[in-house]
Amino acid sequence: MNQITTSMTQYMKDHPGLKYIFFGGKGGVGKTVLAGTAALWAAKQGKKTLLASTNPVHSLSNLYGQDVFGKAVTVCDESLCYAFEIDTKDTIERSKREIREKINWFLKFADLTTKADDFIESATMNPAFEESAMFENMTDIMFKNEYDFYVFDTAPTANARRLLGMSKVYSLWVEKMLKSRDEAKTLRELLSFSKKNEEDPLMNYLLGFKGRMAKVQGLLTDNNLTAFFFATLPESLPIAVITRFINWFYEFGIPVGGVVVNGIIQKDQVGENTAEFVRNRVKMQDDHMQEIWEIFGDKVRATIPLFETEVKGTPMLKRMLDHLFV
Amino acid sequence: MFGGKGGLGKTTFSAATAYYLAKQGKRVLVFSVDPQASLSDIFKRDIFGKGPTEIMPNLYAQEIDADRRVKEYQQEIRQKILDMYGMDKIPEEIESYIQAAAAEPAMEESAIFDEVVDIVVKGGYDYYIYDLVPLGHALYYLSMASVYDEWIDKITNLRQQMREYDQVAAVMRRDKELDEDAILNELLYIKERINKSSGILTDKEKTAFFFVITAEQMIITDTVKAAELFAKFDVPLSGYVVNRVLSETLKQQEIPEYLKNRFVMQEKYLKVIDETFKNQILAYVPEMDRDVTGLEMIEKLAITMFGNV
Repeated sequence: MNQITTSMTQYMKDHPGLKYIFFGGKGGVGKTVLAGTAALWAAKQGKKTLLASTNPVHSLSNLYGQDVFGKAVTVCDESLCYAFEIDTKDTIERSKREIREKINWFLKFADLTTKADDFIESATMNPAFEESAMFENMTDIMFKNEYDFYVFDTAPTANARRLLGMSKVYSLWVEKMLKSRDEAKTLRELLSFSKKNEEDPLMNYLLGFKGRMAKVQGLLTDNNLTAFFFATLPESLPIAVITRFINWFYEFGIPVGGVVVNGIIQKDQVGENTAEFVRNRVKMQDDHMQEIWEIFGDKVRATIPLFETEVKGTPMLKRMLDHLFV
Repeated sequence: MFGGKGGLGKTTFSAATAYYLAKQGKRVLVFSVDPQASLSDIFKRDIFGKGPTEIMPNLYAQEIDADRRVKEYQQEIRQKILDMYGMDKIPEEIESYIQAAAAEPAMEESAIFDEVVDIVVKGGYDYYIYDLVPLGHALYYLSMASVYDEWIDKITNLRQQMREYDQVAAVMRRDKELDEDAILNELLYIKERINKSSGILTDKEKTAFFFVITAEQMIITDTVKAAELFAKFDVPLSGYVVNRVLSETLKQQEIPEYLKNRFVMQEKYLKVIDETFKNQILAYVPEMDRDVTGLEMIEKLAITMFGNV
């Protein structure tokens, strides 16, 4: 097999309720450009679309030549197409504030004199904190539900996998917290002189959090709502990377939308007299395309030519449209 | 250590450097914690999660499988409980606690970190080549040593402050004694290991850090930003390697439009690179016409980087 059975356009038609799409793959394969093209396509379908970057090293502003850091801005001369680079600093500050309030309340509740500041700092310095904050932010964007369609330009795939897998992980963790919280509450009630049942905001928060996590997990694993696309080049390392990741995604129950092959050198540009360097590359490319068809088969959604210049700015994204959505 | 954005050639350079050093008769370990790093693919051997694997005489490669490490932790804890209390089976309640602890977001992080510390502290090689995760994250890992150190300091202090409260709680729970000291000891042990490894990371005599760049505007901008941050963490920055340089002889031949455009871009940005990094550039590595996988291609790359090997 060496042709597309279900194209990107067909996949979209088959999943009319699709609302959240992700692009992942090895660095340097064109994830951001593909995400930008998909967002433009969705906007052109009349959907109010948000392209959000959750990558700690953002590149959307660079793609559009326009500052979209920390704010959703319309791009590509399309009133329905918005781009947004999440400002992690804001998220982290906000999360810190929230944690501070919760902890202060808890310390008061438990009659502890320990200063909260030290504890908060140690909790938020935890290296996993930034990642959690990023996930929280993505969840917020999804729950606000201000757009019809969302495209997430994710960090390198390993990170994305963890980001998504985290929803599962969180539920387990909160479960544990709830349990010990319940025990603490019982203990306090035992000690308390007044037997009146006190409202417990921390417990409420944990329950709310658990609900959020269950909800986002529901969205992310819904085949009709979510699709994860993998981008690759016709080269051995990017292919190997997505081969590995695609299986992990299946394990997590995250819907895999398909594979997009980017940067294919066009044969009509290569003749007998073309430099040997180029002809060798094309020969190698043929082998890798063969491999791609063998491994991913009917999961391939589009094959995109190597453009003569870097894809940047609206005119180039518009050109990409015809190749990604055949 | 090689750092830089994704897809620039960090892993390939790590492999080629390891190859060169091994040929010089040094015992070398090249290792990675990034599931995207593809050492397996470059050496054409499945080494993921298999520990140090001999690729050729003196050259060992290792890819860390964090998930497995987490599972090993869990097993260790189970075994400890079984041994301690002479049980034949872990009680359900404790098992669910072990499951939940493994699910904590920081767990994978610390599993990876732990394994790296293990590798560095254990010794046994003349050279260690640490193939880092892409920029944002590379920084993150390097800064982790100082962050963890501070974090543990805080926790240790807090634990001491909380002792008083815990004693009251222990009396209420009718516990016979506190396991506090054991926890404190464990924290101090971790702290010592971290200090040792971060000491190695920032030791200018022992450690060198190289950035991989290509002649593209975004890459150059990002690298300058990253280099400033690295300097803050006292990571010894030793220089830059420019990858994917198109050979001038190609220009005289018949080439497609996309390559002609790349030449124009390359000329422009090589100038910028020259002005920005000046005498810190250590090598220009040509774009190859084939994937660098397998020892034969690695040797070819090693020769262009280091001269005859």
